[in-house]
Amino acid sequence: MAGAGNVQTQQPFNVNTASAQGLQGAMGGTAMGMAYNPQQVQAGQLANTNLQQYQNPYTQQVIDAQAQDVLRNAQLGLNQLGTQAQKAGAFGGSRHGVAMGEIGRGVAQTLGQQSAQLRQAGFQNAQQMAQQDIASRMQADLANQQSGLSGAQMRLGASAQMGDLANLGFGMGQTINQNMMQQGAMQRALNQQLIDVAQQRYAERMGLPQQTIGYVSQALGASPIPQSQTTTKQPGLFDYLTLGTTAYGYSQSDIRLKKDLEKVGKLKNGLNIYKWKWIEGAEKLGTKVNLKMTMGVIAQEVQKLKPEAVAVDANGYLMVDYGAI
Amino acid sequence: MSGGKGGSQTTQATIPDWAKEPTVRNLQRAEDLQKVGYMPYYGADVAGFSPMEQQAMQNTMNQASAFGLAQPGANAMAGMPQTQMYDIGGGQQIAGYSAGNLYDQALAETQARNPEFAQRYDELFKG
Repeated sequence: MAGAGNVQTQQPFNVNTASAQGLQGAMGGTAMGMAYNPQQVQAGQLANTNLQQYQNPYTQQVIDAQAQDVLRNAQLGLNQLGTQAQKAGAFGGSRHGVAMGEIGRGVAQTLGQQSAQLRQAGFQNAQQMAQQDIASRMQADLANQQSGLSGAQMRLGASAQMGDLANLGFGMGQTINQNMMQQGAMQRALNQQLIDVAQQRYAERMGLPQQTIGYVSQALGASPIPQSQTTTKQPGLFDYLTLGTTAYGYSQSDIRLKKDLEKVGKLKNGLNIYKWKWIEGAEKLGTKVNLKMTMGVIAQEVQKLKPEAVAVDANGYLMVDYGAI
Repeated sequence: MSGGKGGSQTTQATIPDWAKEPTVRNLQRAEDLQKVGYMPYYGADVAGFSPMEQQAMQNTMNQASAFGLAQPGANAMAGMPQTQMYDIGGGQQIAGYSAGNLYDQALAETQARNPEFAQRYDELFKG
């Protein structure tokens, strides 16, 4: 039972550390893959092979055993030849000697042939076994070479996968961190809003006296400094001419209703200014006759220069719009 | 309107009797207010980085360390001024900075470099 004291503290997973270690591992694995040299395979040669190890260690014993058999059979033949020679009374004779010699030659020949055949068979067997060994070794070497290549490829694949995982972890870490930064910025913005409001209220408090001054000013009038305005004016000639005409628009100015004309001035546009007296009953003859207006232009002259400023009344008299000249 | 006009016009502004007293009083108050001068704000001006922002910055620093681009254990907030805590009521506080000391320093610097100018300026607010 594991007590509290036996609990091993495990480092919490850290995506940054994992990514960095993964990237480092992937780079190391890739570097190893780049440096990988496949196992070299060389063909074995029979000529360089010591065939002795493939020889039957009992070859000589087999030869010796066979030789004993041959010699035993030869001895039996000699015995039989001796018996036959005794019976024929020729034992020890020349024919007996020739026969014995023949047997000896046959024995020697047989022994030589058998020994050579056994040694030849042993050599061929050793050669065949050596070739099989060479072929087996070649096959094993090729298999090892292939497994080494497969292992290297597998390690490269694992390195690439580790690199991908490291990259994935890095991206996840980045995304989470950006989210944290954005949310943290929102929190800071909230605090800043509080501070801004506090500053604004402080400014309002400090600006309040100034603002109350404005209140009084506003209460005193539309303008900050209340005032009444008195305007005095010294009228000019044209002011005089237009005096009383603006309310009516057109004013009677036909020369046929005027008398005692006296030229008193000239406008910049060339029209002459006259003083006159109205003829008797002018106000009945023409319309819009202002008997107090005894200075101005003559409608007939205006008609030549600015015909648009002249109109004809119901009785055919000419009127002038002073605002249009 | 064309043609010669001639003549002249003068305008005379007069304060109505009913407005004289409050107007004078208002002017006096404005003068009194002018003597007060500038009253600096020494409260918080700028909010400090939030804990989550600081953590995000530390994460970035840790990431840099993990990739060998910074010293292990480096503090992301190193070199940043320490925030002051400001009460916002209810036992709550926010971290922030005040520009009050910077203002005081700038004003003192101005007074040290241009004492005559500073004196003339300050006299504008004296009674």
